[in-house]
Amino acid sequence: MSPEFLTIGMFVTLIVFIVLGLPLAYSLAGTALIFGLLENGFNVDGLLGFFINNAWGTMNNFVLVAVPLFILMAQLLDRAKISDALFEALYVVMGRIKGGLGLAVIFVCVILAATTGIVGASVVGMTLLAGPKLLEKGYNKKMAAGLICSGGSLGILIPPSIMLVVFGGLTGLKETSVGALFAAAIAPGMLLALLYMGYVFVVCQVKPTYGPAISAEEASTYSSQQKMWMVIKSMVPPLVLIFAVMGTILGGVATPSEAAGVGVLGAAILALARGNLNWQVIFDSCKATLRTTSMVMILVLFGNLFSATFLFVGGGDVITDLLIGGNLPPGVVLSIMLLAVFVLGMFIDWVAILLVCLPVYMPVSMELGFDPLWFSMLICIVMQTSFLTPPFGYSLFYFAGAAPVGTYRMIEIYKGVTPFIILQALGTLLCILFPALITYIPSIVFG
Amino acid sequence: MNRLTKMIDKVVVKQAEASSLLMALLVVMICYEVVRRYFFNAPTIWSLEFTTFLFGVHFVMGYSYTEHFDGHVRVDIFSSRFTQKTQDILYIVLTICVTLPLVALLGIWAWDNAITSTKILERLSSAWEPPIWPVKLLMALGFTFLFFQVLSNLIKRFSALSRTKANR
Amino acid sequence: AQDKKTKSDRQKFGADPRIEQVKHLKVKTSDKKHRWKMVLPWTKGLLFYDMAVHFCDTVRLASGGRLDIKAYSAGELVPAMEIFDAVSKGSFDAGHDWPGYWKGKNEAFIAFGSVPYGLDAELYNIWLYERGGLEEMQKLYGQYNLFALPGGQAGQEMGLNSNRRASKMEDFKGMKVRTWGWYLDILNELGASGVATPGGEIYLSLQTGVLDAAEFSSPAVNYPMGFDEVTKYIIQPGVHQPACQFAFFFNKQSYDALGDDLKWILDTAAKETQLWSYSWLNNLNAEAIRRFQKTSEIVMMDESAIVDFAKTTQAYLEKVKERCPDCKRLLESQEALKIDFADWRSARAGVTPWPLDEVVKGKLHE
Ligand code: NA
Ligand code: NA
Repeated sequence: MSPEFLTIGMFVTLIVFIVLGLPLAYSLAGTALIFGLLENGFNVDGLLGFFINNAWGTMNNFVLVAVPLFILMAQLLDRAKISDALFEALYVVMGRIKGGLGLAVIFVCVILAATTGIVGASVVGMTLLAGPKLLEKGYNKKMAAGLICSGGSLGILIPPSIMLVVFGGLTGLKETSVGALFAAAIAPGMLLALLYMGYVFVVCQVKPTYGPAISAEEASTYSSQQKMWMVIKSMVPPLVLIFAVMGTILGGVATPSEAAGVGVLGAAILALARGNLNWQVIFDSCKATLRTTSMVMILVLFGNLFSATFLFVGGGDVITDLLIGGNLPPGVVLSIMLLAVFVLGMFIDWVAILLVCLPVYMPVSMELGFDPLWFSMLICIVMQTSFLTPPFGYSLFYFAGAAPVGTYRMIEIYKGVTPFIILQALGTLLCILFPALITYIPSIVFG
Repeated sequence: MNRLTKMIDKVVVKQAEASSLLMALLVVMICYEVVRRYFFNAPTIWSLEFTTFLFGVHFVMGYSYTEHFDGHVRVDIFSSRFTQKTQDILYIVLTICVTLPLVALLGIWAWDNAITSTKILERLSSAWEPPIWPVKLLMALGFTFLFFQVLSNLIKRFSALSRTKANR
Repeated sequence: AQDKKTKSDRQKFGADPRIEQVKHLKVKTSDKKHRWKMVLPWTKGLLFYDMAVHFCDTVRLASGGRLDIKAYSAGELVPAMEIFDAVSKGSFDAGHDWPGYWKGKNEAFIAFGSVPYGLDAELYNIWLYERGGLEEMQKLYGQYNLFALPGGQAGQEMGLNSNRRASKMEDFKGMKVRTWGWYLDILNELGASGVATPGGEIYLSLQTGVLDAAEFSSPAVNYPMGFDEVTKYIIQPGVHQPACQFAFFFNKQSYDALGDDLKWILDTAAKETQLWSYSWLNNLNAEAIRRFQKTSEIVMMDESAIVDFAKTTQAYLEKVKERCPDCKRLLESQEALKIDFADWRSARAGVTPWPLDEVVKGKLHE
């Protein structure tokens, strides 16, 4: 069977399974099973052997340890009512600014992004921490979903970032070393956060029901002294925790994965200090953590089987052949390349995108004389967008999985995230037009 | 049938609740390593691998737990519009044709892989060199629990469907 | 009688035995086409990836396309450390490795990769091709349903990218060093702290100070990783790895299905890779170390420290031999080669190819 047939067949089968209501994880692995067998002549032993090799590989992946740790931290902060108090305080402090709590949530996302290198951790964490509060304060459901999914996805762009580490390793270019990519990602990450904030602010001014501010009478119940006290009492402990996690990373005390573990200990100490820590709280937090972690990890493994099978049947070559076109002007080639990453990002995860695209892209970009760092960062921004783009946006799935059962339908999340995808495109465009956004910080760091 | 599903559910939940506590142990291990390395300049050679395996065993035993609560992500844009009966029938057909064979095959080959590893008492290729065959056996056990939980959920759905038929 | 024997030995001293072996060999050819998948532990940015692709290209060209091997980078089909099992089981036909990766299956695999203070590139070639190393290697891989061939040689690795200047033995005490395998144990025994940091976390760990120093690979391989951006010194030489030998391995059933001519092509292509890779990488190493000199200070270990390291290594290897009988046989066979080679080594000394300008000023030895 031709690779073209198998590639198209895989996507079609996957979509059919999903439409019929099969869980995403089983749809991915089921499709992989069928097409893997078609490709290797029904050598069940050969195919399942390598599926199990991948399953074992996921069990050996230290990088992902941060996922359950961030979930556990969120569970503890939630059960000890620490996160509730934090966002309540943020809500009050933001006062009469419409959309104020939304702005604060994005700010917390940015800080969280600086402590984790993966998306699963920050999206699930923020869904558990900030999600309920946003709805309680009357925020539009879709807006809340979009906010958390996109804010949480900053975790993979703002350093530290596993995506940048893998990217640096794949190119083998000095110009795109991990350090250079880390430095280059700071400004685009901040730019996107500002765009999100600007959008939330503007929309909430126009449609106050999207993100209501505290009512005048409720606000008047708090004296400025009370507000101050609220801030100290509820904001300081979690912020100290977050900065302690960052501090252990920056101070060379711990790696980002370890820092998440230190953060859990810190959260437990905070809960203890509030008298909210007991055996039952720990046990319940652990149980909830396992449920969410396993949901994330079965998606990671079965998504991985799909991506590997996609490359196994020759899908990588099919995509590559499509990409290499005639003698087009550099601007057009750049647009095609970024658009291809965007479209691929609707269906497959960033690791598979990198493995498919990078070997084709880097030589082409060199030939066209693009700055490799600038070009690489553009790809990374578009890959970050892939976490948000339907139908397969992993942030959306993590959000759906971590939100309380029955609160969200997938379509609401898709709708909620759409404006933020447009903001991503705007951010990418700004980075294309003003390359300094990407190259300035690396140039002062590395001379 | 009812007794079978009850037993499966009970075993799955109990083993998962026990595994969930591994996360508490993991946190302790990580903090212990950070303190040893940073304050005493004496990192262990085993901490990284030990925590990785704690994590691996943790979520592999959790696959069946997620399945038990049906905590999976679905893209329900279309399927939520079907009638309950259609949804039930689709669930049963897809589980028999896709999910059950998938998890059964994964389970069988996980055991095959674990037994091969156990025969040579395989160790991890690292400085610490811990035996990895016990972890591979646990991985196989995790997939086995997943298989039985899928089976249990299928039976439950099937009897729910026949009950609604009987009522009508 | 003694004289007579020596005389007859001299007449036929060291004749290539293969000439006799293949005299009556008939090689059957076939038109059958084989499409293979080769899985790698390397990502595409690593030079070792190019090494594997070079081999696949040679095989395809030499066989006129009858044996077409497609290489897949780490993680494309299986994670890096799972390629051995996947090929052994027949999920894929071939793989490329640094044999030490499989020490968890049998510690003896390390002997075919590199040993601290062990063979250099020249001696690895002699050991493998002339002293039975290859047969030992094929016997070991054979236990796992695999056929193996030497698969490239990178030569001496570089020492440590470090933020602590260290040249004397006591400088290494308490130093947090990322490394791997036997050397990690050795570092711990001589008072340093070996840390098994995964490849992807080295950069950040050096930058933040979780690590003081890290060992990774050859200069040309380390250079693009940018470790020198976050470290000040390069501590030389790479005593932990005087050579870096790679291997190709093939699923037995896939290999047996090949015609004799294709088997000869595989064998010849592997030898070509062994020759080419050494020249290619070491030419790049020379350039990489020149560039490193601009960003880092190269610190040479004191000779006394090198000797002390060697003492610890020797004691450690004795322990290895006790716990691993296969290692004992292989390490002793390698040590025997060093001993047998020593006379020739000292007899040929003094013509190290330093630039002539320096030789005329009296610089003769390495
Ligand atoms: Na991050
Ligand atoms: Na997507």
